[in-house]
Amino acid sequence: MSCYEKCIVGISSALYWVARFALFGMMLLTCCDVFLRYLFNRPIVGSYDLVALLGSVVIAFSIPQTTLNRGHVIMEALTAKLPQGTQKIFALITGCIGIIVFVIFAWNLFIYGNILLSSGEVFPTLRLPIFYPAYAIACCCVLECLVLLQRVLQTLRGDAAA
Amino acid sequence: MSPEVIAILTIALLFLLFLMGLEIGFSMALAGFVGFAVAVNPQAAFRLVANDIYSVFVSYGFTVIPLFVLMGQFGASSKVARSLYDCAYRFMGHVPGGLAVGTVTAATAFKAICGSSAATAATFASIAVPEMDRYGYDKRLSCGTVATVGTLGILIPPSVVLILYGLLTETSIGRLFLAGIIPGLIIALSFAVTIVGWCKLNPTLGPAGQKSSWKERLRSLPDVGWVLAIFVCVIGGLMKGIFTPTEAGSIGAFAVLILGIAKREMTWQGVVKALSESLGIACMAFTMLAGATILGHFFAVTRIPYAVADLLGNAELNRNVVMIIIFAVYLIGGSFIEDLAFLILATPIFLPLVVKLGYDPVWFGVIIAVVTMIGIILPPMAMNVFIVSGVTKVPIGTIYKGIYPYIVGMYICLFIFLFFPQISLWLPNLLMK
Repeated sequence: MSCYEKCIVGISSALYWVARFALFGMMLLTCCDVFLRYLFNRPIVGSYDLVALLGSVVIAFSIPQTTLNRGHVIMEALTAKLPQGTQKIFALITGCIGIIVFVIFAWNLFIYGNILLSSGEVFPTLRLPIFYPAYAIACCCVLECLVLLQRVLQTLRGDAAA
Repeated sequence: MSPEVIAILTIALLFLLFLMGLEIGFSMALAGFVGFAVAVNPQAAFRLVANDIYSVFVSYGFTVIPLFVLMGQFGASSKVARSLYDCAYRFMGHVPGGLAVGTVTAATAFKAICGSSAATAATFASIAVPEMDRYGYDKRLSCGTVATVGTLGILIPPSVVLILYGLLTETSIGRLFLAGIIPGLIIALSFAVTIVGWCKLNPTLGPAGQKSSWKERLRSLPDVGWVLAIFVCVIGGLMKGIFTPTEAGSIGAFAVLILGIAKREMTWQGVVKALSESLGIACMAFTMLAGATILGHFFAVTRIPYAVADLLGNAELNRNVVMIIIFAVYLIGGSFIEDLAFLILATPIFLPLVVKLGYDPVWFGVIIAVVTMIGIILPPMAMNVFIVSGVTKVPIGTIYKGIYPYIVGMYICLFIFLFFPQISLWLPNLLMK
Protein backbone atom coordinates (compact mmCIF):
# COMPACT_ATOMS: atom_id res chain seq x y z
CA MET A 1 0.00 0.00 0.00
CA SER A 2 1.44 3.38 -1.03
CA CYS A 3 1.82 6.31 1.35
CA TYR A 4 -1.08 8.06 -0.42
CA GLU A 5 -3.38 5.06 0.08
CA LYS A 6 -2.35 4.71 3.73
CA CYS A 7 -3.18 8.40 4.32
CA ILE A 8 -6.60 8.08 2.62
CA VAL A 9 -7.49 4.91 4.52
CA GLY A 10 -6.26 6.40 7.80
CA ILE A 11 -8.20 9.67 7.44
CA SER A 12 -11.37 7.85 6.32
CA SER A 13 -11.10 5.47 9.29
CA ALA A 14 -10.57 8.38 11.71
CA LEU A 15 -13.62 10.19 10.33
CA TYR A 16 -15.63 6.98 10.65
CA TRP A 17 -14.77 6.88 14.36
CA VAL A 18 -15.96 10.48 14.70
CA ALA A 19 -19.20 9.46 12.94
CA ARG A 20 -19.61 6.50 15.34
CA PHE A 21 -19.30 8.82 18.35
CA ALA A 22 -21.65 11.33 16.72
CA LEU A 23 -24.29 8.63 16.18
CA PHE A 24 -23.95 7.35 19.73
CA GLY A 25 -24.00 10.92 21.04
CA MET A 26 -27.09 11.70 18.97
CA MET A 27 -28.88 8.76 20.58
CA LEU A 28 -27.82 9.72 24.12
CA LEU A 29 -28.62 13.41 23.63
CA THR A 30 -32.13 12.69 22.35
CA CYS A 31 -32.82 10.22 25.17
CA CYS A 32 -31.60 12.69 27.82
CA ASP A 33 -33.72 15.42 26.26
CA VAL A 34 -36.85 13.21 26.37
CA PHE A 35 -36.24 12.09 29.97
CA LEU A 36 -35.47 15.60 31.22
CA ARG A 37 -38.48 17.00 29.37
CA TYR A 38 -41.01 14.53 30.75
CA LEU A 39 -39.55 13.84 34.20
CA PHE A 40 -38.25 17.29 35.21
CA ASN A 41 -39.87 19.58 32.65
CA ARG A 42 -36.34 20.74 31.75
CA PRO A 43 -35.60 19.90 28.09
CA ILE A 44 -32.08 20.41 26.76
CA VAL A 45 -32.10 23.74 24.96
CA GLY A 46 -30.85 23.45 21.39
CA SER A 47 -31.07 19.64 21.28
CA TYR A 48 -33.14 19.83 18.06
CA ASP A 49 -30.38 21.83 16.33
CA LEU A 50 -27.61 19.70 17.84
CA VAL A 51 -29.24 16.50 16.55
CA ALA A 52 -29.49 17.97 13.04
CA LEU A 53 -25.84 19.04 13.28
CA LEU A 54 -24.73 15.61 14.56
CA GLY A 55 -26.81 13.99 11.82
CA SER A 56 -24.78 15.81 9.18
CA VAL A 57 -21.55 14.63 10.87
CA VAL A 58 -22.87 11.03 11.00
CA ILE A 59 -23.58 10.93 7.29
CA ALA A 60 -20.90 13.18 5.77
CA PHE A 61 -18.05 11.69 7.83
CA SER A 62 -19.01 8.13 6.90
CA ILE A 63 -19.12 8.67 3.12
CA PRO A 64 -15.39 7.99 2.39
CA GLN A 65 -15.26 4.82 4.55
CA THR A 66 -18.55 3.56 3.06
CA THR A 67 -17.01 3.95 -0.41
CA LEU A 68 -13.85 2.13 0.75
CA ASN A 69 -16.08 -0.65 2.15
CA ARG A 70 -18.01 -0.80 -1.17
CA GLY A 71 -21.13 0.00 0.84
CA HIS A 72 -22.96 2.02 -1.80
CA VAL A 73 -25.58 0.31 -3.98
CA ILE A 74 -24.53 -0.41 -7.56
CA MET A 75 -26.16 -2.33 -10.38
CA GLU A 76 -23.83 -5.21 -11.17
CA ALA A 77 -26.16 -7.20 -13.42
CA LEU A 78 -24.46 -6.12 -16.67
CA THR A 79 -20.90 -5.31 -15.69
CA ALA A 80 -20.38 -8.63 -13.84
CA LYS A 81 -21.02 -10.53 -17.09
CA LEU A 82 -18.50 -8.52 -19.16
CA PRO A 83 -14.92 -9.65 -19.89
CA GLN A 84 -12.26 -8.54 -17.37
CA GLY A 85 -10.78 -5.93 -19.72
CA THR A 86 -14.13 -4.27 -20.39
CA GLN A 87 -14.95 -4.35 -16.67
CA LYS A 88 -11.70 -2.51 -16.02
CA ILE A 89 -12.54 0.18 -18.59
CA PHE A 90 -16.01 0.63 -17.06
CA ALA A 91 -14.48 0.83 -13.57
CA LEU A 92 -12.10 3.56 -14.78
CA ILE A 93 -14.91 5.53 -16.43
CA THR A 94 -17.26 5.27 -13.43
CA GLY A 95 -14.39 6.13 -11.06
CA CYS A 96 -13.66 9.30 -13.08
CA ILE A 97 -17.39 10.19 -13.25
CA GLY A 98 -17.61 9.70 -9.47
CA ILE A 99 -14.69 12.11 -8.99
CA ILE A 100 -16.42 14.70 -11.23
CA VAL A 101 -19.68 14.29 -9.26
CA PHE A 102 -17.93 14.91 -5.93
CA VAL A 103 -15.85 17.81 -7.31
CA ILE A 104 -19.18 19.43 -8.31
CA PHE A 105 -20.61 18.68 -4.83
CA ALA A 106 -17.54 19.98 -2.97
CA TRP A 107 -17.11 23.11 -5.07
CA ASN A 108 -20.75 24.14 -4.79
CA LEU A 109 -20.94 23.33 -1.09
CA PHE A 110 -17.95 25.62 -0.46
CA ILE A 111 -19.74 28.36 -2.44
CA TYR A 112 -22.95 27.63 -0.53
CA GLY A 113 -20.99 27.80 2.74
CA ASN A 114 -19.63 31.23 1.72
CA ILE A 115 -23.19 32.42 1.01
CA LEU A 116 -24.37 31.16 4.42
CA LEU A 117 -21.32 32.76 6.09
CA SER A 118 -22.01 36.16 4.51
CA SER A 119 -25.72 35.89 5.37
CA GLY A 120 -24.84 35.50 9.07
CA GLU A 121 -27.62 32.93 9.54
CA VAL A 122 -27.57 30.84 12.73
CA PHE A 123 -29.41 27.76 14.03
CA PRO A 124 -32.67 28.94 15.65
CA THR A 125 -31.98 27.90 19.27
CA LEU A 126 -28.32 26.92 19.35
CA ARG A 127 -27.26 30.25 17.76
CA LEU A 128 -24.38 28.45 16.01
CA PRO A 129 -23.62 29.67 12.46
CA ILE A 130 -25.21 27.35 9.89
CA PHE A 131 -22.27 27.48 7.48
CA TYR A 132 -20.19 24.99 9.52
CA PRO A 133 -22.00 21.87 8.21
CA ALA A 134 -21.72 23.13 4.60
CA TYR A 135 -17.93 23.41 4.90
CA ALA A 136 -17.70 20.08 6.77
CA ILE A 137 -19.72 18.25 4.09
CA ALA A 138 -17.65 19.94 1.36
CA CYS A 139 -14.41 18.72 3.02
CA CYS A 140 -15.82 15.17 3.17
CA CYS A 141 -16.67 15.42 -0.54
CA VAL A 142 -13.03 16.38 -1.23
CA LEU A 143 -11.89 13.31 0.71
CA GLU A 144 -14.40 11.21 -1.23
CA CYS A 145 -12.77 12.46 -4.47
CA LEU A 146 -9.40 11.28 -3.14
CA VAL A 147 -10.90 7.87 -2.21
CA LEU A 148 -12.33 7.52 -5.72
CA LEU A 149 -8.96 8.61 -7.18
CA GLN A 150 -7.30 5.86 -5.14
CA ARG A 151 -9.78 3.38 -6.64
CA VAL A 152 -8.98 4.62 -10.16
CA LEU A 153 -5.23 4.23 -9.46
CA GLN A 154 -5.83 0.70 -8.14
CA THR A 155 -7.77 -0.16 -11.30
CA LEU A 156 -4.96 1.21 -13.48
CA ARG A 157 -2.46 -0.91 -11.57
CA GLY A 158 -4.76 -3.91 -11.90
CA ASP A 159 -5.11 -4.56 -8.14
CA ALA A 160 -7.63 -7.27 -7.27
CA ALA A 161 -9.15 -5.00 -4.59
CA ALA A 162 -10.23 -2.48 -7.26
CA MET B 1 -35.76 21.13 -26.47
CA SER B 2 -39.11 20.34 -24.87
CA PRO B 3 -39.22 19.30 -21.17
CA GLU B 4 -40.47 15.82 -22.18
CA VAL B 5 -37.48 15.23 -24.49
CA ILE B 6 -35.06 16.47 -21.81
CA ALA B 7 -36.73 14.13 -19.29
CA ILE B 8 -36.47 11.11 -21.60
CA LEU B 9 -32.80 11.85 -22.38
CA THR B 10 -32.07 12.29 -18.66
CA ILE B 11 -33.73 8.97 -17.81
CA ALA B 12 -31.67 7.35 -20.61
CA LEU B 13 -28.50 8.90 -19.11
CA LEU B 14 -29.53 7.64 -15.67
CA PHE B 15 -29.91 4.04 -16.86
CA LEU B 16 -26.66 4.27 -18.82
CA LEU B 17 -24.88 5.29 -15.61
CA PHE B 18 -26.60 2.44 -13.72
CA LEU B 19 -25.53 -0.08 -16.37
CA MET B 20 -21.94 1.15 -16.32
CA GLY B 21 -21.80 0.38 -12.61
CA LEU B 22 -21.75 3.89 -11.12
CA GLU B 23 -23.20 4.01 -7.61
CA ILE B 24 -27.01 4.45 -7.77
CA GLY B 25 -27.03 7.54 -5.54
CA PHE B 26 -24.24 9.23 -7.53
CA SER B 27 -26.04 8.36 -10.80
CA MET B 28 -29.31 9.95 -9.66
CA ALA B 29 -27.50 13.09 -8.50
CA LEU B 30 -25.52 13.45 -11.73
CA ALA B 31 -28.50 12.77 -14.03
CA GLY B 32 -30.67 15.19 -12.03
CA PHE B 33 -27.93 17.84 -12.12
CA VAL B 34 -27.35 17.51 -15.90
CA GLY B 35 -31.11 17.44 -16.62
CA PHE B 36 -31.73 20.50 -14.45
CA ALA B 37 -28.81 22.37 -16.09
CA VAL B 38 -30.32 21.73 -19.53
CA ALA B 39 -33.94 22.35 -18.51
CA VAL B 40 -33.29 25.52 -16.46
CA ASN B 41 -29.66 26.75 -16.52
CA PRO B 42 -26.26 25.53 -15.26
CA GLN B 43 -26.03 28.23 -12.56
CA ALA B 44 -29.36 27.13 -11.06
CA ALA B 45 -28.25 23.49 -11.25
CA PHE B 46 -25.05 24.22 -9.30
CA ARG B 47 -27.05 26.01 -6.61
CA LEU B 48 -29.63 23.19 -6.56
CA VAL B 49 -26.97 20.53 -5.91
CA ALA B 50 -25.51 22.35 -2.90
CA ASN B 51 -28.91 23.28 -1.52
CA ASP B 52 -30.32 19.75 -1.82
CA ILE B 53 -27.29 18.02 -0.31
CA TYR B 54 -27.27 20.49 2.59
CA SER B 55 -31.01 20.14 3.19
CA VAL B 56 -30.84 16.31 3.21
CA PHE B 57 -27.67 16.02 5.31
CA VAL B 58 -28.50 18.77 7.84
CA SER B 59 -32.06 17.74 8.60
CA TYR B 60 -33.53 16.82 11.97
CA GLY B 61 -36.31 14.82 10.26
CA PHE B 62 -33.90 12.60 8.33
CA THR B 63 -31.92 11.63 11.48
CA VAL B 64 -34.70 9.11 12.11
CA ILE B 65 -33.00 6.78 9.58
CA PRO B 66 -29.64 6.14 11.34
CA LEU B 67 -31.38 5.89 14.73
CA PHE B 68 -33.92 3.22 13.74
CA VAL B 69 -31.16 1.38 11.83
CA LEU B 70 -29.06 1.52 15.02
CA MET B 71 -31.95 0.08 17.04
CA GLY B 72 -32.08 -2.88 14.65
CA GLN B 73 -28.32 -3.36 14.65
CA PHE B 74 -28.21 -3.35 18.46
CA GLY B 75 -30.92 -6.00 18.34
CA ALA B 76 -28.88 -8.05 15.87
CA SER B 77 -25.61 -7.62 17.84
CA SER B 78 -27.12 -8.65 21.17
CA LYS B 79 -28.60 -12.13 21.47
CA VAL B 80 -32.22 -10.98 21.62
CA ALA B 81 -33.01 -12.95 18.46
CA ARG B 82 -31.61 -16.12 20.06
CA SER B 83 -33.87 -15.66 23.13
CA LEU B 84 -36.93 -15.12 20.93
CA TYR B 85 -36.09 -18.15 18.85
CA ASP B 86 -35.63 -20.28 21.98
CA CYS B 87 -39.06 -19.21 23.22
CA ALA B 88 -40.77 -20.01 19.89
CA TYR B 89 -38.84 -23.31 19.74
CA ARG B 90 -40.12 -24.32 23.21
CA PHE B 91 -43.73 -23.80 22.17
CA MET B 92 -43.70 -25.14 18.61
CA GLY B 93 -40.61 -27.30 18.13
CA HIS B 94 -42.44 -30.61 18.70
CA VAL B 95 -44.88 -30.35 15.77
CA PRO B 96 -43.92 -31.21 12.14
CA GLY B 97 -42.45 -28.05 10.58
CA GLY B 98 -42.66 -26.50 14.05
CA LEU B 99 -39.10 -25.17 14.04
CA ALA B 100 -39.82 -23.30 10.79
CA VAL B 101 -43.08 -21.91 12.23
CA GLY B 102 -41.08 -21.01 15.34
CA THR B 103 -38.59 -19.15 13.13
CA VAL B 104 -41.45 -17.15 11.58
CA THR B 105 -42.86 -16.33 15.04
CA ALA B 106 -39.47 -15.37 16.49
CA ALA B 107 -38.60 -13.27 13.43
CA THR B 108 -41.97 -11.49 13.63
CA ALA B 109 -41.28 -10.63 17.27
CA PHE B 110 -37.68 -9.66 16.41
CA LYS B 111 -38.99 -7.31 13.71
CA ALA B 112 -40.58 -5.28 16.47
CA ILE B 113 -37.11 -3.98 17.30
CA CYS B 114 -35.14 -4.61 14.10
CA GLY B 115 -36.22 -2.95 10.85
CA SER B 116 -33.41 -4.38 8.73
CA SER B 117 -34.32 -7.22 6.38
CA ALA B 118 -30.71 -8.21 5.74
CA ALA B 119 -29.80 -8.21 9.47
CA THR B 120 -32.78 -10.48 10.28
CA ALA B 121 -31.99 -12.91 7.46
CA ALA B 122 -28.32 -13.11 8.54
CA THR B 123 -29.21 -13.43 12.25
CA PHE B 124 -31.76 -16.23 11.77
CA ALA B 125 -29.59 -17.98 9.18
CA SER B 126 -26.97 -18.41 11.91
CA ILE B 127 -29.44 -19.26 14.72
CA ALA B 128 -32.32 -21.22 13.18
CA VAL B 129 -30.73 -23.12 10.27
CA PRO B 130 -28.23 -25.12 12.41
CA GLU B 131 -31.08 -26.05 14.77
CA MET B 132 -33.30 -27.18 11.88
CA ASP B 133 -30.31 -29.08 10.44
CA ARG B 134 -30.04 -30.94 13.76
CA TYR B 135 -33.61 -32.24 13.37
CA GLY B 136 -33.12 -33.18 9.71
CA TYR B 137 -35.08 -30.35 8.11
CA ASP B 138 -34.86 -30.12 4.34
CA LYS B 139 -32.52 -27.26 3.28
CA ARG B 140 -35.21 -25.87 0.97
CA LEU B 141 -37.53 -25.40 3.94
CA SER B 142 -34.96 -24.17 6.48
CA CYS B 143 -33.05 -21.75 4.22
CA GLY B 144 -36.16 -20.67 2.29
CA THR B 145 -37.85 -19.82 5.58
CA VAL B 146 -35.02 -17.67 6.99
CA ALA B 147 -34.57 -15.84 3.66
CA THR B 148 -38.29 -15.09 3.53
CA VAL B 149 -38.92 -14.11 7.16
CA GLY B 150 -36.23 -11.45 6.87
CA THR B 151 -38.56 -9.52 4.58
CA LEU B 152 -41.15 -9.03 7.35
CA GLY B 153 -39.13 -6.07 8.67
CA ILE B 154 -40.03 -4.13 5.55
CA LEU B 155 -43.65 -4.00 6.70
CA ILE B 156 -43.66 -4.50 10.46
CA PRO B 157 -42.61 -1.31 12.26
CA PRO B 158 -40.05 0.14 12.79
CA SER B 159 -39.44 -0.42 9.09
CA VAL B 160 -36.62 1.53 7.40
CA VAL B 161 -38.45 1.21 4.07
CA LEU B 162 -41.60 2.80 5.51
CA ILE B 163 -39.47 5.56 7.11
CA LEU B 164 -37.84 6.29 3.73
CA TYR B 165 -41.24 6.25 2.02
CA GLY B 166 -42.61 8.63 4.66
CA LEU B 167 -39.69 11.04 4.23
CA LEU B 168 -39.91 10.92 0.43
CA THR B 169 -43.66 11.48 0.27
CA GLU B 170 -44.06 13.61 3.42
CA THR B 171 -46.46 11.03 4.84
CA SER B 172 -46.79 10.57 8.62
CA ILE B 173 -44.30 7.91 9.74
CA GLY B 174 -46.54 7.10 12.75
CA ARG B 175 -49.52 6.37 10.46
CA LEU B 176 -47.31 4.29 8.16
CA PHE B 177 -46.02 2.24 11.09
CA LEU B 178 -49.54 1.54 12.33
CA ALA B 179 -50.72 0.72 8.80
CA GLY B 180 -47.97 -1.89 8.45
CA ILE B 181 -48.83 -3.90 11.58
CA ILE B 182 -51.95 -5.85 10.47
CA PRO B 183 -50.71 -6.58 6.91
CA GLY B 184 -47.36 -7.65 8.42
CA LEU B 185 -49.07 -10.07 10.79
CA ILE B 186 -51.28 -11.41 7.97
CA ILE B 187 -48.20 -12.10 5.84
CA ALA B 188 -46.47 -13.77 8.82
CA LEU B 189 -49.59 -15.93 9.19
CA SER B 190 -49.42 -16.79 5.48
CA PHE B 191 -45.83 -17.99 6.04
CA ALA B 192 -46.95 -20.23 8.91
CA VAL B 193 -49.85 -21.61 6.84
CA THR B 194 -47.45 -22.28 3.94
CA ILE B 195 -45.08 -24.24 6.22
CA VAL B 196 -47.88 -26.31 7.79
CA GLY B 197 -49.43 -27.05 4.37
CA TRP B 198 -46.05 -27.90 2.83
CA CYS B 199 -45.15 -30.25 5.70
CA LYS B 200 -48.56 -31.93 5.51
CA LEU B 201 -47.94 -32.66 1.82
CA ASN B 202 -44.37 -33.82 2.45
CA PRO B 203 -43.75 -34.73 6.13
CA THR B 204 -40.05 -35.49 5.52
CA LEU B 205 -39.39 -31.77 4.95
CA GLY B 206 -39.73 -30.80 8.61
CA PRO B 207 -39.66 -33.66 11.16
CA ALA B 208 -40.94 -32.94 14.66
CA GLY B 209 -38.41 -31.88 17.32
CA GLN B 210 -38.28 -32.49 21.09
CA LYS B 211 -41.27 -31.51 23.20
CA SER B 212 -40.48 -28.97 25.95
CA SER B 213 -42.05 -29.00 29.39
CA TRP B 214 -44.39 -26.17 30.45
CA LYS B 215 -41.77 -25.07 32.98
CA GLU B 216 -39.23 -24.58 30.16
CA ARG B 217 -41.82 -22.77 28.07
CA LEU B 218 -42.82 -20.33 30.80
CA ARG B 219 -39.17 -19.66 31.66
CA SER B 220 -38.52 -18.53 28.08
CA LEU B 221 -41.37 -15.97 28.06
CA PRO B 222 -39.83 -12.91 29.83
CA ASP B 223 -37.54 -12.09 26.89
CA VAL B 224 -40.56 -11.81 24.60
CA GLY B 225 -42.13 -9.49 27.18
CA TRP B 226 -39.13 -7.13 27.09
CA VAL B 227 -39.17 -6.93 23.29
CA LEU B 228 -42.92 -6.27 23.28
CA ALA B 229 -42.50 -3.60 25.98
CA ILE B 230 -39.89 -1.77 23.86
CA PHE B 231 -42.11 -2.06 20.79
CA VAL B 232 -45.18 -0.71 22.60
CA CYS B 233 -43.13 2.12 24.14
CA VAL B 234 -41.61 3.19 20.80
CA ILE B 235 -44.71 2.83 18.61
CA GLY B 236 -47.12 3.97 21.33
CA GLY B 237 -45.01 7.07 22.09
CA LEU B 238 -44.85 7.90 18.40
CA MET B 239 -48.57 7.32 17.91
CA LYS B 240 -49.59 9.45 20.90
CA GLY B 241 -47.26 12.28 19.87
CA ILE B 242 -45.07 11.85 22.96
CA PHE B 243 -41.97 11.38 20.78
CA THR B 244 -40.95 12.64 17.36
CA PRO B 245 -39.85 9.77 15.05
CA THR B 246 -36.19 10.68 15.77
CA GLU B 247 -36.82 10.50 19.52
CA ALA B 248 -38.66 7.20 19.12
CA GLY B 249 -35.66 5.78 17.23
CA SER B 250 -33.27 7.02 19.95
CA ILE B 251 -35.37 5.65 22.81
CA GLY B 252 -35.76 2.33 20.99
CA ALA B 253 -32.02 2.04 20.25
CA PHE B 254 -31.13 2.96 23.84
CA ALA B 255 -33.67 0.49 25.27
CA VAL B 256 -32.37 -2.38 23.12
CA LEU B 257 -28.79 -1.48 24.10
CA ILE B 258 -29.70 -1.48 27.81
CA LEU B 259 -31.59 -4.79 27.39
CA GLY B 260 -28.52 -6.33 25.74
CA ILE B 261 -26.19 -5.01 28.49
CA ALA B 262 -28.54 -6.06 31.31
CA LYS B 263 -28.72 -9.59 29.93
CA ARG B 264 -24.91 -9.55 29.46
CA GLU B 265 -25.37 -10.31 25.81
CA MET B 266 -23.96 -7.05 24.43
CA THR B 267 -20.18 -6.68 24.20
CA TRP B 268 -18.07 -3.61 23.39
CA GLN B 269 -17.26 -5.21 20.03
CA GLY B 270 -20.99 -5.69 19.45
CA VAL B 271 -21.65 -1.99 20.11
CA VAL B 272 -18.87 -0.92 17.71
CA LYS B 273 -20.08 -3.40 15.08
CA ALA B 274 -23.67 -2.15 15.41
CA LEU B 275 -22.52 1.47 15.08
CA SER B 276 -20.37 0.65 12.03
CA GLU B 277 -23.13 -1.31 10.29
CA SER B 278 -25.63 1.45 11.02
CA LEU B 279 -23.33 4.10 9.55
CA GLY B 280 -22.83 2.07 6.37
CA ILE B 281 -26.57 1.50 5.87
CA ALA B 282 -27.50 5.09 6.75
CA CYS B 283 -24.80 6.55 4.50
CA MET B 284 -25.95 4.35 1.62
CA ALA B 285 -29.58 5.45 2.17
CA PHE B 286 -28.68 9.15 2.52
CA THR B 287 -26.57 9.14 -0.66
CA MET B 288 -29.55 7.74 -2.53
CA LEU B 289 -31.93 10.19 -0.83
CA ALA B 290 -29.71 13.15 -1.79
CA GLY B 291 -29.52 11.85 -5.39
CA ALA B 292 -33.29 11.26 -5.45
CA THR B 293 -33.92 14.77 -4.10
CA ILE B 294 -31.84 16.35 -6.89
CA LEU B 295 -33.49 14.11 -9.49
CA GLY B 296 -36.91 14.83 -7.95
CA HIS B 297 -36.39 18.58 -8.37
CA PHE B 298 -35.48 17.99 -12.01
CA PHE B 299 -38.66 15.91 -12.48
CA ALA B 300 -40.64 18.68 -10.82
CA VAL B 301 -39.48 21.32 -13.33
CA THR B 302 -40.21 18.99 -16.26
CA ARG B 303 -43.56 18.01 -14.62
CA ILE B 304 -42.98 14.39 -15.69
CA PRO B 305 -44.77 12.78 -12.68
CA TYR B 306 -47.88 14.80 -13.51
CA ALA B 307 -47.60 13.88 -17.20
CA VAL B 308 -47.42 10.18 -16.17
CA ALA B 309 -50.43 10.72 -13.90
CA ASP B 310 -52.38 12.39 -16.71
CA LEU B 311 -51.38 9.74 -19.26
CA LEU B 312 -52.40 6.74 -17.15
CA GLY B 313 -55.23 8.61 -15.42
CA ASN B 314 -56.85 9.55 -18.73
CA ALA B 315 -56.33 6.11 -20.30
CA GLU B 316 -59.71 5.01 -18.89
CA LEU B 317 -58.18 1.93 -17.30
CA ASN B 318 -59.65 0.42 -14.17
CA ARG B 319 -57.68 1.84 -11.23
CA ASN B 320 -56.84 -1.64 -9.97
CA VAL B 321 -55.33 -2.43 -13.38
CA VAL B 322 -53.24 0.74 -13.12
CA MET B 323 -52.05 -0.40 -9.68
CA ILE B 324 -51.13 -3.83 -11.05
CA ILE B 325 -49.10 -2.08 -13.80
CA ILE B 326 -47.33 -0.06 -11.09
CA PHE B 327 -46.58 -3.27 -9.10
CA ALA B 328 -45.12 -4.83 -12.26
CA VAL B 329 -42.92 -1.76 -12.84
CA TYR B 330 -41.63 -1.95 -9.24
CA LEU B 331 -40.99 -5.70 -9.46
CA ILE B 332 -39.24 -5.51 -12.84
CA GLY B 333 -37.31 -2.38 -11.85
CA GLY B 334 -36.36 -3.93 -8.51
CA SER B 335 -35.10 -7.03 -10.32
CA PHE B 336 -32.40 -4.99 -12.04
CA ILE B 337 -31.66 -2.27 -9.50
CA GLU B 338 -31.66 -2.86 -5.75
CA ASP B 339 -35.30 -2.77 -4.57
CA LEU B 340 -34.80 0.04 -2.07
CA ALA B 341 -33.01 2.15 -4.69
CA PHE B 342 -35.84 1.59 -7.16
CA LEU B 343 -38.41 2.53 -4.52
CA ILE B 344 -36.58 5.82 -3.91
CA LEU B 345 -36.34 6.44 -7.65
CA ALA B 346 -39.88 5.49 -8.70
CA THR B 347 -42.11 6.56 -5.79
CA PRO B 348 -42.01 10.32 -6.48
CA ILE B 349 -42.96 9.56 -10.12
CA PHE B 350 -45.94 7.34 -9.31
CA LEU B 351 -47.30 9.01 -6.18
CA PRO B 352 -49.18 11.84 -8.00
CA LEU B 353 -50.90 9.19 -10.14
CA VAL B 354 -51.84 7.10 -7.10
CA VAL B 355 -53.27 10.16 -5.34
CA LYS B 356 -55.13 11.16 -8.53
CA LEU B 357 -56.70 7.68 -8.62
CA GLY B 358 -58.07 8.35 -5.16
CA TYR B 359 -55.81 6.09 -3.11
CA ASP B 360 -54.44 6.98 0.30
CA PRO B 361 -50.61 7.54 0.26
CA VAL B 362 -50.39 5.58 3.55
CA TRP B 363 -52.05 2.58 1.91
CA PHE B 364 -49.75 2.95 -1.12
CA GLY B 365 -46.76 2.91 1.23
CA VAL B 366 -47.90 -0.43 2.68
CA ILE B 367 -48.56 -1.88 -0.77
CA ILE B 368 -45.16 -0.77 -2.05
CA ALA B 369 -43.56 -2.28 1.06
CA VAL B 370 -45.21 -5.63 0.24
CA VAL B 371 -44.00 -5.37 -3.39
CA THR B 372 -40.49 -4.62 -2.05
CA MET B 373 -40.76 -7.69 0.22
CA ILE B 374 -41.44 -9.85 -2.81
CA GLY B 375 -38.68 -8.12 -4.80
CA ILE B 376 -36.08 -8.82 -2.11
CA ILE B 377 -36.50 -12.61 -2.49
CA LEU B 378 -37.42 -12.71 -6.19
CA PRO B 379 -34.60 -13.61 -8.63
CA PRO B 380 -32.30 -12.28 -10.04
CA MET B 381 -31.61 -9.55 -7.40
CA ALA B 382 -32.70 -11.54 -4.34
CA MET B 383 -30.58 -9.89 -1.66
CA ASN B 384 -31.85 -12.03 1.23
CA VAL B 385 -31.18 -15.25 -0.68
CA PHE B 386 -27.58 -14.14 -1.29
CA ILE B 387 -27.14 -13.37 2.42
CA VAL B 388 -28.57 -16.71 3.60
CA SER B 389 -26.50 -18.55 1.01
CA GLY B 390 -23.40 -16.69 2.24
CA VAL B 391 -24.05 -17.57 5.89
CA THR B 392 -25.20 -21.19 5.45
CA LYS B 393 -23.11 -22.12 2.35
CA VAL B 394 -26.25 -23.64 0.81
CA PRO B 395 -26.46 -23.18 -3.00
CA ILE B 396 -28.63 -20.26 -4.15
CA GLY B 397 -30.70 -22.59 -6.39
CA THR B 398 -31.74 -24.70 -3.37
CA ILE B 399 -32.84 -21.61 -1.44
CA TYR B 400 -34.85 -20.35 -4.43
CA LYS B 401 -36.76 -23.67 -4.43
CA GLY B 402 -37.62 -22.99 -0.80
CA ILE B 403 -38.95 -19.45 -1.30
CA TYR B 404 -41.40 -20.00 -4.18
CA PRO B 405 -44.23 -21.37 -1.93
CA TYR B 406 -43.93 -18.27 0.26
CA ILE B 407 -44.01 -15.96 -2.75
CA VAL B 408 -47.38 -17.44 -3.78
CA GLY B 409 -48.74 -16.57 -0.33
CA MET B 410 -47.28 -13.06 -0.53
CA TYR B 411 -48.92 -12.43 -3.90
CA ILE B 412 -52.28 -13.55 -2.49
CA CYS B 413 -51.81 -11.16 0.46
CA LEU B 414 -50.82 -8.34 -1.92
CA PHE B 415 -54.06 -8.70 -3.85
CA ILE B 416 -56.10 -8.89 -0.63
CA PHE B 417 -54.49 -5.62 0.53
CA LEU B 418 -55.12 -4.09 -2.92
CA PHE B 419 -58.83 -4.85 -2.91
CA PHE B 420 -59.36 -4.23 0.82
CA PRO B 421 -57.46 -1.01 1.72
CA GLN B 422 -59.24 -0.93 5.09
CA ILE B 423 -56.98 -3.80 6.27
CA SER B 424 -54.07 -1.35 6.19
CA LEU B 425 -55.95 1.83 7.08
CA TRP B 426 -58.19 0.59 9.90
CA LEU B 427 -55.56 0.81 12.66
CA PRO B 428 -54.12 4.27 11.78
CA ASN B 429 -57.66 5.64 11.29
CA LEU B 430 -58.71 4.20 14.65
CA LEU B 431 -55.71 5.37 16.68
CA MET B 432 -54.50 8.51 14.86
CA LYS B 433 -57.53 10.49 13.75
